[in-house]
Amino acid sequence: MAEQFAEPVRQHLYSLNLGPQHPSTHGVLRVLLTLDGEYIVEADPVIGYGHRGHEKMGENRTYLQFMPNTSRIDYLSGLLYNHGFCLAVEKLTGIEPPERARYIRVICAELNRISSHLLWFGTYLMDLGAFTPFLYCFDDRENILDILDRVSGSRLTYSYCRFGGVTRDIDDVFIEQTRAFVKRLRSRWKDYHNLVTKNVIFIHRTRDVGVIDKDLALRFGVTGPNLRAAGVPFDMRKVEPYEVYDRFDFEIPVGEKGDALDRYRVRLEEMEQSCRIIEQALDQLPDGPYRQERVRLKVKPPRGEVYFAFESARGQTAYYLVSDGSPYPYRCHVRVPSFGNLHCLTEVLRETLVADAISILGSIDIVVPEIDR
Amino acid sequence: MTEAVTNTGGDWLRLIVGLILVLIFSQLNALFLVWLERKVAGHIQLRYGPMEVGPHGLLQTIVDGIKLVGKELITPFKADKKLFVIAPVLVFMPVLVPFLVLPFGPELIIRDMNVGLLLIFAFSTFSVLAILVGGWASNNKYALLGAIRSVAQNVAYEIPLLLSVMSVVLMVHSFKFSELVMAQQRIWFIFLQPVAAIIYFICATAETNRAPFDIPEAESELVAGFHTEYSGMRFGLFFLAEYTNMFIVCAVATSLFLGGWHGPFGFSLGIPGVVWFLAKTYFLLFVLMWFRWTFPRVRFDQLMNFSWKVLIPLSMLNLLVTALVLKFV
Amino acid sequence: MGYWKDIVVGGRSLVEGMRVTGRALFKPVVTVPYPRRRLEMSPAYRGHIELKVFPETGTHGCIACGTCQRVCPSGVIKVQGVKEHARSGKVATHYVIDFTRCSLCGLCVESCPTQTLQFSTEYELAGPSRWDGVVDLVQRMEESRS
Repeated sequence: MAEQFAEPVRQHLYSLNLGPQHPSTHGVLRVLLTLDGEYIVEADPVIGYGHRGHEKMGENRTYLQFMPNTSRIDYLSGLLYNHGFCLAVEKLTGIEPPERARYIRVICAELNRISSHLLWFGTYLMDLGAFTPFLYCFDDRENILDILDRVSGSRLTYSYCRFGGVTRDIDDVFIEQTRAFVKRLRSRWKDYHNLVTKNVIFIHRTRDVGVIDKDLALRFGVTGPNLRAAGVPFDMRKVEPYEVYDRFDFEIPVGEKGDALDRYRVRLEEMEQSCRIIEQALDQLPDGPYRQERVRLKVKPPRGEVYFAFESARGQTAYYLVSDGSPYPYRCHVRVPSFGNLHCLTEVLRETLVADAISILGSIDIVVPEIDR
Repeated sequence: MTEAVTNTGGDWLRLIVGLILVLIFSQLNALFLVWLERKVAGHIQLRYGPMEVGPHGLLQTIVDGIKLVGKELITPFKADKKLFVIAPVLVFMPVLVPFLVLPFGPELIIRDMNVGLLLIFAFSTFSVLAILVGGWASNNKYALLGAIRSVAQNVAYEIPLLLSVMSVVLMVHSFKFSELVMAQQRIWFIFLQPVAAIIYFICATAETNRAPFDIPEAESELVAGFHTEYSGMRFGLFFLAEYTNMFIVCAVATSLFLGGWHGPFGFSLGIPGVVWFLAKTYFLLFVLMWFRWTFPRVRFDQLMNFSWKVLIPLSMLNLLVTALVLKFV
Repeated sequence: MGYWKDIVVGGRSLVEGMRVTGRALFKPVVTVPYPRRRLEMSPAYRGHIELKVFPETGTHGCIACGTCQRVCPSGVIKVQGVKEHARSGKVATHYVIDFTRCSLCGLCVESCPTQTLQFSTEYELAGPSRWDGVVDLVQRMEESRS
């Protein structure tokens, strides 16, 4: 369809600001569209509206004081970011967290990943015009938030991990609730498939829409489910297993074409895989302390640098920390996945419809404050 | 038209009382529908919906209406002021006219014209003009896009809509609502013309810009579509017109396919005709709401494809088959 | 034949979807009508911090050491203490937090040497003024005791 419009009549072009205030730009993203009727000739994402200076803040705070910031960089997968930061600092200082803490972290991180994907699922469908799946997802997600609230005390910005452990031990109620949740989520798949996956309108809105193929994805540094949807089985949990991920049996779901439907399927399958990880971790959960006692409040890592990459809900995320031996990092850099994911839009959005632009924007699952940091 | 000329005196009284009743009914109905929509949406989404004002939030829409009246009417900079003001009036006036010919009951037709059905479709196309005017005058690109979409959509869906209605008209040989309904005393036309009924209902959804065909106001794409710039009661008029339009298309569907004021298979069960009529109409309205809170929105080109490649051929085929059956059987 | 199949399969998928939402219509509601019904906060809930009252002493145990003040990432806490007489340790007289800038990370609670800090379960903290977020915890504790 779009090919016929590939060569637009130049004088009919006009520009449209999609955002920064727009219902489906998820935060404060602005996409400057050049349109020919409803067809997009050029799309230019403009970022920076949500800049809060987290990296600079990191340099002015001690390592531990940066912890609350990490869960606010990407507020939808706060615990994953906490986790990654902890691992980065632990790698830098050589702190060894006890076994139990590692398992607790993995369980909570995977719960957080599911909650992030569930929220994506809901908001994506809302972008496509279906309101109801959004609230069903929130109903399920609320369970995760309750579980994590019970153990970390917060529902969104967890600050749950500490160097050498976690703030609070999990109890039997937590384990019971988590198992119940996994069971509940599995029973929900059928409804989701009937309501969304099989829906003919949904399929037409996503199939062959916004194809990010292997080539394009690698060129722009697209990671996470978007890359896996293009058929590249790249997941930091598998390629560079950190924490205890090498002890679990799980698969990396991959798509074929890299269109919005593939991205949707990959994310849905990933939730299932996260459920598997959680179940295995609960089975293997060892006893023991949940936190290393001998970690000082003001960690002073030795001189050196560390680059630590992990898999957040949106893709490969990394902390780069340079220590000069003082309690404050000399440089603190965060590699966020949404940046690469977003910027392939310039190529993907070309010659699509405005409605597709919304669908594509939703399907790559960006969190704009994460890009702006 | 002949009876309109011969009946004078009492007829005038009937017309005036009818007009007042129509005004009251259409307003109350729209307010009720907004409440119903929010309630249905709420319970489908596992939440309550409005609960605070009145029992189960029944008075919520009235309070909302008062709020809308109280709000400032903002006219955007460099908007076409005259057209901008006219559009909400233009959208609201024509939706009242169809009430004059709707057959609420055997004795409850204000004016049983012999071209009643045509009148309704003539006036319901009017709303697209208002949407175009409103979208154009707003001086807003989202509003303009919404207006353009609306025009294209309405043109495309008017055709299968009329074609599906034609097959019913062919069977009855009349555009008169009373005759159309009387013909269904034994058996409703939905059983004789299921394809036409389904096509009509799909097209009606598109005609009233309801999800999944709500692309003119697609809130996740075009912010609010053609009424992006409208505030206060001007927006309120668009809103009321949408719900009144919904009622009209559902009422027409009831009288064309669901037997109007008749009970199923000639059994009225002692219930008055007007109750049957309203019950069936509100059921259809409920189905429209059910659609809206279930489906994602279709894309613009898919909407067009669906109309031109599926609905129009099917309705043509249906019409052809109807004509052949009527001719030879 | 694909044309007809698409119509039938597509139509059926729409009906399936409507069945899901139709069933949900009669399911119990999961939301809570907030001011009319309230939820229990979880025991770990992190509200703003407050001073714990120890039953042995009948008062808080803050020695105004300033650890929390230093560890706080946002500089939210200001503690003031006096020595009652030359030998004794300090006792906090004022413990002011600016809740508007607090990020509820819990570092103060963890770092407190006398464990006299805890999270409150208060969650209705909105106020019309910026100063509503500035609370003197010592004063608050005294008020709640009396």
